[in-house]
Amino acid sequence: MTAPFWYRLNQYVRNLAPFLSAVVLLFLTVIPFHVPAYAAIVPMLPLTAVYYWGLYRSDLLPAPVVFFIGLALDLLSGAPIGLNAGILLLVYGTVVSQRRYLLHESFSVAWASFMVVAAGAAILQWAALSLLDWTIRDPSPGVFQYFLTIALYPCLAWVYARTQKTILRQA
Amino acid sequence: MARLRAGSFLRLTTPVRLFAHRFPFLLLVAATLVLMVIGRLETSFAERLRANVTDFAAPIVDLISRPVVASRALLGEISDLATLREENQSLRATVASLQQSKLTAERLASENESLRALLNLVPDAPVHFVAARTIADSGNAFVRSVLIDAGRHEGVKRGDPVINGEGVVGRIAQLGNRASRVLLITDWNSRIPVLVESSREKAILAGDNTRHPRLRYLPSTAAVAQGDRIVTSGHGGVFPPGLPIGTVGSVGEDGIRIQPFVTWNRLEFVRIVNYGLKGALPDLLGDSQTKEILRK
Repeated sequence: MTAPFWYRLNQYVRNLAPFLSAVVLLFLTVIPFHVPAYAAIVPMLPLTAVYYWGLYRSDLLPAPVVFFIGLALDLLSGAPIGLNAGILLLVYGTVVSQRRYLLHESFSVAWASFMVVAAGAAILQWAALSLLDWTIRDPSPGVFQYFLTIALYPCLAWVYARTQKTILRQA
Repeated sequence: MARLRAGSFLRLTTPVRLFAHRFPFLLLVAATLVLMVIGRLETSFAERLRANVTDFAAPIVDLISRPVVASRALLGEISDLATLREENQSLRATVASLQQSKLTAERLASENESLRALLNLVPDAPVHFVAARTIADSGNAFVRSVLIDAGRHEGVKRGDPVINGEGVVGRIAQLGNRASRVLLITDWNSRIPVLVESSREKAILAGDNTRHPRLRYLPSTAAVAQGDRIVTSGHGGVFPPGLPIGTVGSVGEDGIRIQPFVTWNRLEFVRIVNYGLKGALPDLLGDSQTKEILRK
């Protein structure tokens, strides 16, 4: 019965799309673009992936996968191990628990709630780093990072939506 | 009757079932907290893990970054074409003045050597360089580090200073087999012993994640003016003395800010400085890798 095998393989590879989008964003975060001060304000790209897929297809991006993406981001970016893993997991948990309210809302509502969630993530990142160093760190890099992240969300959400309509819908 | 009892039983177990459903998630969150604490306390474990992952990911990131670098270079070439003639003229003038400086430098170097011999000064340890390319920036607003494609296999050691043509870039903070992480001088955790070149006053260059690190622990009687050159002092034996770092950018209420010589967004090729081993040791060690390093 070869037909079901290829069919299942096809489905499996398509279902990897959310995970692969997060991995691509992970690499985009660390690649040197040689733009002045890019590293200072690089937006939290994997956060957008975790938020979107956690909201609309959390079955394709389960919690352990989110954990490993966060861990990989920590290890590649030089952040303390566990920091981004924890932040992404908490964002994922928040989004999944609020699916009931957010799932059928318009894009503007989803974007607005992303702003709130990303603010929480940014504050959490700053607080965790200050706590680990036991000093109050200057939050301004985090503020720029936050605004860039929420500004980029619509573009990325459009890409995810196209992915959902084309790669994931075909059965 | 039986149906009613089943319903109430389900209602009782719902919280338990919800908890069991969420348990893996809570376990993962607890795991991240544990990792953060372990990473802070037991740094060797964190370092090994980070080094292994970096070694694994380095070729991939390198491959992905090449098209980006190439397209940036292409754009740079196109914009350079516009200013080609003026650039040529100014470059010719620079070459002429540099040739002059080279002659002066050679004369001073030989004078220096003869004076040192006269005073029986201990010669500086021989210094070797390993060249490398930056393959990744830190992807974090709060960490200033870059990944380079040289590691243990190339003879790099932890703590080695990293420089480029313009000045001091940073130090090797984490070491892998094929790649390592450089902590830039602008990072929060970077502390470098420096000298104000003109007055030879000692101070510490402390990064604070901005593009202008601060000069700290300078004696209050020291007179520092804008434009003074800052170089490494060689204290602590980490950085060779005399390496250029930057100039004093501003002296104000929030301290003395340094304008580094290095342009951070054009950081591509760097050199890692490692001191050579003293004469007798290579024969004792006798392994081919050491001989390879020393032959360079």
